[in-house]
Amino acid sequence: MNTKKIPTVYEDQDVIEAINHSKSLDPVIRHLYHTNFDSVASYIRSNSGNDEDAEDFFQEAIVVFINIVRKGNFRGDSSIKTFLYSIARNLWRNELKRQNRVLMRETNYYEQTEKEEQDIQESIGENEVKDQLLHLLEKLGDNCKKILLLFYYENLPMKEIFQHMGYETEQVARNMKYRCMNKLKGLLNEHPEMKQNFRSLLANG
Amino acid sequence: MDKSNNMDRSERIDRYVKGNLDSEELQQFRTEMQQDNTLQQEVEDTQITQALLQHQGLKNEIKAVRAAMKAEGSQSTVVEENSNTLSTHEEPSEVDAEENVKAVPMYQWMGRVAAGLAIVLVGYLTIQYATLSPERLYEERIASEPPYLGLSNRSMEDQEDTIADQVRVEYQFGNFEEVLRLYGELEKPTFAETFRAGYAYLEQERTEEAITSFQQVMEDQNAFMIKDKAEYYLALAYLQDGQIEKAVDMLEVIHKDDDHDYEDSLGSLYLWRLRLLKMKY
Repeated sequence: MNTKKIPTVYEDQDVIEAINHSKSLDPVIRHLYHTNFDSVASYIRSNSGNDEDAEDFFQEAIVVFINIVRKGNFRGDSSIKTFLYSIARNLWRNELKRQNRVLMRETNYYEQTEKEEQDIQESIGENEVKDQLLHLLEKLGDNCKKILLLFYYENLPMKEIFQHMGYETEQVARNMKYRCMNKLKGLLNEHPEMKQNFRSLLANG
Repeated sequence: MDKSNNMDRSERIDRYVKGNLDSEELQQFRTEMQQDNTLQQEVEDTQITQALLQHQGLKNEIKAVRAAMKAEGSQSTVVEENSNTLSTHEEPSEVDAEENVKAVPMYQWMGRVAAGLAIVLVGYLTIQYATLSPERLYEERIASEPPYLGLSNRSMEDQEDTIADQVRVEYQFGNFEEVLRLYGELEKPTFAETFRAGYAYLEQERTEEAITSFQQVMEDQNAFMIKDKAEYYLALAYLQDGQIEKAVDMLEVIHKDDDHDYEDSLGSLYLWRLRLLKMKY
């Protein structure tokens, strides 16, 4: 049986709408992959990258894109395809710079507006600051990470979380979440500089 | 301020950060924030941690969708290949299509369909048989449900003065290495700590120690409340250890026992694969 989901046809405006309002991002992410991955992967491969780089950097590009949309900074001056490509290109250029390597083939795909360029660079910077702190989540332990993600990312209520996690009562889940949150805050306090960077991002965002 | 008040305060901050306060509560909260620097700081910390978790959550979601797309892609490739093969051998050409439809009686078509299904079934069984291993069946089971956590009536608010308390907390956090380290420091572990250690050993793939731990729990008369759970995990530990006959026999007994806690957790297909595994080894 072919279980492959048929990608929904989206106009750019539908994508923005779904990112801002839909509970599940699954169809949008699929759409972005179906319509953009090949061109981005081709660019990365033709500039010293491999398949794994293409996967990693396209994923990062989607994260950056979704954050820009959610901040209301995607103005539609260019199509999503062009915009996403620009994000991936910027991400990959930054990576090559980090590795002291140069671009092999740079196509003048689209002339970004100054504002677009600025938004993309800012969002990439924000992404990097967040990435630097992600390792703290690994120190929490699996259950802590899971309960916090269910609460703060999935936005599930505690009465669902306690069942999901296999706790006996909702109160146990609430206690656990409270402790895990304190633990995470404690870990953040061990990195005051990074925390300050993050705080500045939120203040400016 | 006691812990319960702290928790209420923290949950109120959550509701503020998530935008779940009504207008009156919101106004009140903002007024309090203006007067209380600590509250302001706590809100900021919660916003930072929330943003960090949302970042991680988004990455996880994208990664999961991509993995699903790849899995579906490889599945559909196999299906397409199969259907291509069939069309090469069985589909009539355009020229003689009409003639063939008339020429082939219904029973022959049914025969062909049955033969096709038989081939698919044989193929499925062959793949199942070839890929079946105790490791695979163990991983499927252990991943299918969360670890049992309700071993204590004590809440997380209780003191963590004793090593036993710390074992309980670390187990609930999922820090299994730490559970085992602390367990080693206990002079007289109870069945509850031994059960937790057993599960931690399973997670760490220290199978022999896991087996010994669950056996100890089952032999402890005070542990009657979790005997079923220990029995189930003991069976899984045998499976992890490659002691297939023991594992399969135990899981069959569990499945047939209407009063067993895990009676419903093993599906018919899983049991059938267990039996197949027993035949294979």
